[in-house]
Amino acid sequence: MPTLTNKFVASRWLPFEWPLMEVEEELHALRTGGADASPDLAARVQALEARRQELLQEIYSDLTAYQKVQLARHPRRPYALDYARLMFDDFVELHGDRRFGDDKAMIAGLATLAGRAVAVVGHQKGRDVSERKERNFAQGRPEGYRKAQRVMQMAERLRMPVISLVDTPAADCLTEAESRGISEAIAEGQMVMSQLRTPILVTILGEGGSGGAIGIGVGDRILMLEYAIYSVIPPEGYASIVWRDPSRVAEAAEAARITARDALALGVVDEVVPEPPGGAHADPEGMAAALKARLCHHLAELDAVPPDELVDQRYAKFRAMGVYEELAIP
Amino acid sequence: MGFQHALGGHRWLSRRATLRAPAEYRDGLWGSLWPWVRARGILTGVSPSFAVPHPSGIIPTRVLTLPSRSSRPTVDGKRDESMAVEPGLLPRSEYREIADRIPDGLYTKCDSPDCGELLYRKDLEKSLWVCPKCGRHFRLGARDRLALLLDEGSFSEFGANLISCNPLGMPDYDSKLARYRKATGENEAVITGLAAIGGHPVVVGITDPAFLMGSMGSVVGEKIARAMERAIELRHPCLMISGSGGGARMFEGILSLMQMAKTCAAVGRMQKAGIFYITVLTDPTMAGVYASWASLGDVVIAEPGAMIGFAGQRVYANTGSGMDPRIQTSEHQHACGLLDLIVPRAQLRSTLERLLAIAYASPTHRK
Repeated sequence: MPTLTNKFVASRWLPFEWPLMEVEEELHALRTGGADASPDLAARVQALEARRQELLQEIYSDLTAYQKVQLARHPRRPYALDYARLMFDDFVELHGDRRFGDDKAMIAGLATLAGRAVAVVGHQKGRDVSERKERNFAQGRPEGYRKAQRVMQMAERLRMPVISLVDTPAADCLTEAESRGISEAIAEGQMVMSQLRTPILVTILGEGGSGGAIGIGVGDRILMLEYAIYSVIPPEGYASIVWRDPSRVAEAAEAARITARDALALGVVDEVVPEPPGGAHADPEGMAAALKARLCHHLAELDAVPPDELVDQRYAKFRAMGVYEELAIP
Repeated sequence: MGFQHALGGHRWLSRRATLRAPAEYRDGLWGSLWPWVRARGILTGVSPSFAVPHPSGIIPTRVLTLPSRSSRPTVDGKRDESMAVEPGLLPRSEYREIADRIPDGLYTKCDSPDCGELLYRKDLEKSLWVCPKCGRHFRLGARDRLALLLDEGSFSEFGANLISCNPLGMPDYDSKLARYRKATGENEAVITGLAAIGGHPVVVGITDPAFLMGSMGSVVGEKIARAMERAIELRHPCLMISGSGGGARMFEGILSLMQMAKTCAAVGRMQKAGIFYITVLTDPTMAGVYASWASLGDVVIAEPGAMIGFAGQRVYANTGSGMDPRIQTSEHQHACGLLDLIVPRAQLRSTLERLLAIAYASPTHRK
């Protein structure tokens, strides 16, 4: 059996994926001729493939909430720019909020989706250490949210739909962000999106972290990938506030109801887009194709709605969110 | 024991207390008895009720129905244990959540960490709960603040019948709600209604830091959105006062995040309709509330020294980085161009009156 000799490899697989990793490694070794070409090679590959399918079924059919959290943060999970590359015919990234600077944690641009012009905004995580730092771990700063607003308002003028790709642990909350008005930028983002006279499709790709997510998260259709999470507080924060014990994070993930299924049940998202077996990172092309199909489907639906009605419907949609009881007035 | 009791029984107060006799007690018999009085904690029993006239002299409807403060920190006859945490573990604001709503007893200590002055309660009432020494603006309950700001008898409440549920089945939420309802006498963390300031009708909403830290759950979001819609309908300006240190209410999970979007959308509607929107940020205004309706005012006003910011101290504690508390203050936010005005409590009513008069001179509003 292959062992976890390479720390780097291990860090790119989650602990519950390790059995799968071993099979994948073996398969890779066989295919690249690491083992000598014996007559039973094909049979061995076939057996391993079968084992792989079996493991995928076994591991992914019944994930716990915390495993989904780990998948949402998976180091190999496709990020916004990966989807931009895979879903759009063309994508031109735009930079800067024209006020202060350019936030690398937030991407924005113009693209064509199945032949039609769209504007794209989204959070971008980094793949390696230096890129993660450059992208500020996808924690948007005020200028990032203002860049997104600028591009969305441009889309409104040009009558292009907006595709918003949410994947952030939280907004940046350090001194500089605070001084430039991160709260105001997020509030303004929600208000701009609620009034935008063009269709908006929001997709939660990985982490939908609180204010950072909702700052570009208001739209006509909210989609969520199967293993994404959408939360007002990360499970770590939940555990340390409710139980004052950050180690109970797995329990917190369950209790805080942050999975796609929960969000759907609570009426916060409209649709959960299934991920390929093994998660989005196992087959980024397949995931992007599936998401693209759903986006095109919703765009076609929204095309039929006149802008005024669209804004009213969007208002009514968010207006209806929340659970409360109204007592009869005596 | 006695010493702490004289200060209302708060353990953390005793750390820097410098108890001094009030001026009129310093001489004569009282003056000689004072050390003994202090040592025995006799002042505990001298607690005047809140039936004294309100400092503003304005007593609008329902304000006098406030339960006396001595009943507030206790639930079912005993001190609320969930609040009784060791000082230092939590930001003091959490600890004070209920206990400091209105200072008890004859004396209270200025809650500014740099001042700590012991203040004679009647002086404090006269100064509208502002420390005469350092200018610290004490937290006020929502009804008390409305009493300071609104025309007497002008307030009629909206939606007091909206009650929070426990949609996520959080273990402690129901009991917490029940406790805070009992402690504050309110159904929820926000009060909305129609009122007048200086004769100008205004739709008003206020969140109460004493109710679950003024955090925004479904009911708070719904009441605020309804109030804003009402302002559009009536073509009155809208005034929202925030005392929300809790941001989005964690107990309602993702639904509370949606209240941010809901209230922002309602502000968007007001803007489209040309309704003038004033927000007043009081101590504390944080997180999900500051990142939604509170920062979207056409005019944003703050009280001096209020804690205003995006992420709470516990978030920084979790990330292992610190936040300079001076950053999250009205003064810093004002210096950064994020607030229009910092208005001391004594001038807030007249400032609002002037702004409303200007709003009513515009063609988009009618009385």
